[in-house]
Amino acid sequence: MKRFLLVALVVFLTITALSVEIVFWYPLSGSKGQVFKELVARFEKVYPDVKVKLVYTGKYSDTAQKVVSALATKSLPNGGIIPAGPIFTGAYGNYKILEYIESDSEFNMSDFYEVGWDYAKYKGKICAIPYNISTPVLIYNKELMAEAGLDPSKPPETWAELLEYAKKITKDLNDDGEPDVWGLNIKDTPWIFKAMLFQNDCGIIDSNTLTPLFDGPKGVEAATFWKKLVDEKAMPVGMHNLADKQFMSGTLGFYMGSSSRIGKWSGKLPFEVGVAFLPKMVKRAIPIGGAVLVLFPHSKAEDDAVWKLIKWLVSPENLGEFCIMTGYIPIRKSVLEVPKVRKFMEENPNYRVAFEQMKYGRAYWHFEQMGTMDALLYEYLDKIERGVLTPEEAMKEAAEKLRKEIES
Amino acid sequence: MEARKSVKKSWYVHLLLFTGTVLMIFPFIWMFLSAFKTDLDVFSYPPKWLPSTWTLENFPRVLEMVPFVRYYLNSIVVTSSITFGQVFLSILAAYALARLHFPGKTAVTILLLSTMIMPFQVTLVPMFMIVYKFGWIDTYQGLIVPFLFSGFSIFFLRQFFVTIPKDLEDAAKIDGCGYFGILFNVIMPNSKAPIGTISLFVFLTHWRSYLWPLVVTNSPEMRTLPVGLKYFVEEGGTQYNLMMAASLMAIIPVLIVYIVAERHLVKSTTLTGLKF
Repeated sequence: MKRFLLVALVVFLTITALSVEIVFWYPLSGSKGQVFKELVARFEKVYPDVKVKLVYTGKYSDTAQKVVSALATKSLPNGGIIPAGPIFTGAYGNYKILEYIESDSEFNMSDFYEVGWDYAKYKGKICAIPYNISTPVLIYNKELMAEAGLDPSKPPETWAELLEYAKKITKDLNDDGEPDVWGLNIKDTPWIFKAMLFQNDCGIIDSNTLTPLFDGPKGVEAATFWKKLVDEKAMPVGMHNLADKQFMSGTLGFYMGSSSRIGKWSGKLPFEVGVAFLPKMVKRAIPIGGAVLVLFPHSKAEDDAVWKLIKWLVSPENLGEFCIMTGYIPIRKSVLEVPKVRKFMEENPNYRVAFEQMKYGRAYWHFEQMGTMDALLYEYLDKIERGVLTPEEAMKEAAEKLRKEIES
Repeated sequence: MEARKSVKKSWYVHLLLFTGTVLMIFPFIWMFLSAFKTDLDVFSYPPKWLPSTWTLENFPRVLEMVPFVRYYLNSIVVTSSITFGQVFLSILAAYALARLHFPGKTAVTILLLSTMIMPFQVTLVPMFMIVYKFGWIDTYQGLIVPFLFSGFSIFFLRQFFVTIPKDLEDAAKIDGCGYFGILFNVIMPNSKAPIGTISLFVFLTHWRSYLWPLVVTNSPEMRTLPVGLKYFVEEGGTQYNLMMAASLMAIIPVLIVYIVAERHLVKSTTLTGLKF
């Protein structure tokens, strides 16, 4: 008996001595947070030598605030899911995760979509791993399409078609001169406008020199089309914040916004909801958004443990499960081959669209002023819609302001 | 005749008040009803007033998702410590600024006022750095100490203290009171209403404070209610029934404090003419 106790004690002590504790931050709340916590709990069972202390960090902007404070005092966690991660890693010379990616022969980089890596770069070098990613999609009300004499099984393929269809759906029910049913509304205007730019073969920013590119002829062309959407009454002026409400109340034909709405609306609204790829201009392109997995270096043992966790989280099976449960879009091609995911896509054809659209994903490397850029685009698209500035003036002014911000 | 007229008049007033009350109380009723709805009910469109089946399930689910009781205790400890400490220190400072003469008094007053102009986001990072230097990250000290001082509270009380007749103070002096004697025996008993008001104000502010507790704490053992409530807000799909169940549990103590202090709140706003 004594001997048994002794052995047990030795085993216990060895495990404690060899085990590592890491602190990991995550900005996922509610049911998404629960899914993530459960995945990590399972990781701890598989690797009993790693103890993960999970810290919930609020929504994306709060998380960024927390990271900024931690950077200022050098009290960073070991890793985490961090929005705009490259700005907090690569920008501070932390490319540690790339060393792990390159030295780990089990890690198959090419299985990730190229766009995912672009989204995880700072100055052209990888400093994070994409994780919870969403893409914009076109969500539409099949009933309104049918009422307008359109075929609900054939959503618009191009922006020109979308304009034509949306115009047919826009209706003034009480003859007050102001439409009550709208053809199209766009929730996140900078995001969708960036999609338009990519699709029109227009760069957004030169990654090496950080020069804005959207004020060139192709950018102006996209902005002019935006104005046309409003002028021809396909889309209301400056009512983008109401897009969700309009769609849910059945007074909006086409909604453009995050793929996270698919799970929220499919089968839960009193009309049939369809989901399609974003329409194309000269080609297909989808800007991606979300947060990335990062590693903040501490000791070798701790860094190894973080890498173990990250690698486990992005394994096709675990990532597939995470995406099924949360509605995020898989950033690895092989996830689509996981039996569970295949079954899920068969049962939820609307998700299939979002998952498969990923192959057209586009992203630019992270840079410090990307938040400013989005704010500027938002402001100047609004000015275009209201006719305060012509599309050309607006693009020139927005690009000029961004240029100044980058130079200062 | 006269009496009837006033009844008639008060009927209108009451109708107005009643409408106002309904408008104000509506969100609370909605919260209360939603807390008992099922997942399906809460998202049904058009929205349903009453749950089709009343469920108590949301409450244990909330408790499962966040350590609610612990957050609750933390909120109580932190908020009451801040309220007590801040109000006490503010009384001392306000008295000095209202009644005592010392060099640099105006400069100090202006400095105090200037702290009220700065938005919290600006001071967040420097404050975090100070708290970090003290080793107070993830502790009660880190949550409490930075808020023991408040320019607003001091200024608010000072404005009231200057209106107390000087004669009362002189009388106390003749009876042998020192500074503290005057403060405790003359100033404070005459300032119950503003002290009550500012206590309520401080309590409410810190009961719902979110960003600082989120930034300065890491372990669930140290977090407060607002951080817990935020956990139910999700990008693209907040679970409103859970959120409402959690909110319902969270507001009960605030309601109690408000009902107790409400009398003072109304009184002192009229007395000082200050609004907040």
